[in-house]
Amino acid sequence: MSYLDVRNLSFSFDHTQPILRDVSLSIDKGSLTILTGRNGSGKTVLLKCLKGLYPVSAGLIAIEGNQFEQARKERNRRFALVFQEAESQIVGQTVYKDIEFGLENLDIPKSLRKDTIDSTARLMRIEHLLGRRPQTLSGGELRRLAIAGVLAMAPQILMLDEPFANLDADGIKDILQVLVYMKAQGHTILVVTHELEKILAHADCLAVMDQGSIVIEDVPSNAILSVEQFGVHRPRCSCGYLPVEEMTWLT
Amino acid sequence: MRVPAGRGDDMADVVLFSYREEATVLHRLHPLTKVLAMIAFSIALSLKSGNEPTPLTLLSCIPIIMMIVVRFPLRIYVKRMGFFVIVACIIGGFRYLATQQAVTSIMEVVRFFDFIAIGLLFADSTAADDLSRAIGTLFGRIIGKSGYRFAATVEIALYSLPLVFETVAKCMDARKSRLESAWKHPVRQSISIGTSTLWMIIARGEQLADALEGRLFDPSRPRKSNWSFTWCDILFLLVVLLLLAGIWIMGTTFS
Repeated sequence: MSYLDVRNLSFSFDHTQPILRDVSLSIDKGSLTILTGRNGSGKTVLLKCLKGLYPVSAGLIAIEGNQFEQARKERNRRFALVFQEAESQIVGQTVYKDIEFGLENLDIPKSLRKDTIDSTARLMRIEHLLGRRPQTLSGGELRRLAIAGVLAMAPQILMLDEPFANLDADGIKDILQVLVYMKAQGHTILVVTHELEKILAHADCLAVMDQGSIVIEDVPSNAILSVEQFGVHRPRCSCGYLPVEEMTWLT
Repeated sequence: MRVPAGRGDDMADVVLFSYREEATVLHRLHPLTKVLAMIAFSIALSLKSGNEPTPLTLLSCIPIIMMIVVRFPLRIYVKRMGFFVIVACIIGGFRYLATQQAVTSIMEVVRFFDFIAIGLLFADSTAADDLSRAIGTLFGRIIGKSGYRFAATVEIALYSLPLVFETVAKCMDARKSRLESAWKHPVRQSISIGTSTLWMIIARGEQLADALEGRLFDPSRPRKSNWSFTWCDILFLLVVLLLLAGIWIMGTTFS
């Protein structure tokens, strides 16, 4: 049995044109899954449905066998989502207060919050920024803060929407290092990205979405063979296609 | 816990009505003290006695002195205040057309900038979060959960205010970068800016709502305030009220 099981999930905004059609996806505990696909294929909507920000029309969402498709609040608590626009997710006046925001919403006593904030900040390597205002942070730091903000709430599954978008090379490497470290720590991670060449070597599974459905779900070395027919760029090198094990920006 | 501002804050792009983490007298006052002082100042500005030039000038000195005291970065803010300058011109222009008196229209403009200045000072020195907690603690005792919900509404409104100005600035920058002339088709341009800004604000609002919901924010949940009233608050309120009363008396004497 998979850690996260999504079966025949459907969603539409107006009950006429479905955005998600019978989406099925399985994610193992402690794995890193990459979800890719054309723009408008429904990747972000799927993340928001899983998170509980959108209600699902039909289907099943189960974590460790427990079904949550009707329990939006419970899904909201168990799934963490880092938006593509990291700055829109940050609500605290300072880095410290932003990480504290979620802990307070979980009713964690003030005396216990500091340790969690410190350890999360250390994990995200933003412990030296705790007193800073979010507006003064760089893109990479903001993205790490956004991850810290949701990670402090101890979610069961961490989802990131285009975590490398708008970042420079150092920022991308920082985020990638964090993701690889978190995977090593046993976190279950789902990443939506178009930039397979940066991360696929670390992934356990590659899923491709097209027109609101998952059309490929396999180990990266198999799935990569047929991504191009769904509008996904397959990274190349001088000698042809880039091997999956070389698809990383970490050396 | 109060977190001191760190290095790099100077690099921040200043957004109107945003909060700065500082350790000035104004920043140390209880948020409700500042609300009371702001209400008192606004009433004094709106009273008939404030229509005389001398009381109005004295009243205007209060925000100016406060700005000096808190080392308010006015020079940086001025660049972002084009919108208020336009509104002030409209107010002054219409006032002049109505009264044919230059002094009256100038006073109207001064009064308008006094309101803006006091709002900027308040937003600069009061974190939305602190204000919300202070209001929530007070109203929560009186009307229960509705009090906390009201406080959360105030917080989100205060939090959204800089977002609006930030969005307008982004929208203007985007148009400028595509070489739009400021004076060609001004009406069409204003409507277009207004519409696209509105859409951007709605999009930002949706993102903010998702962000708050995504992090389990519950507006009716009690959130305790770390603030308590001190002698400084009482002293500050007394000074402000005495000043305002003095100016009001002076105003009624003049009129």
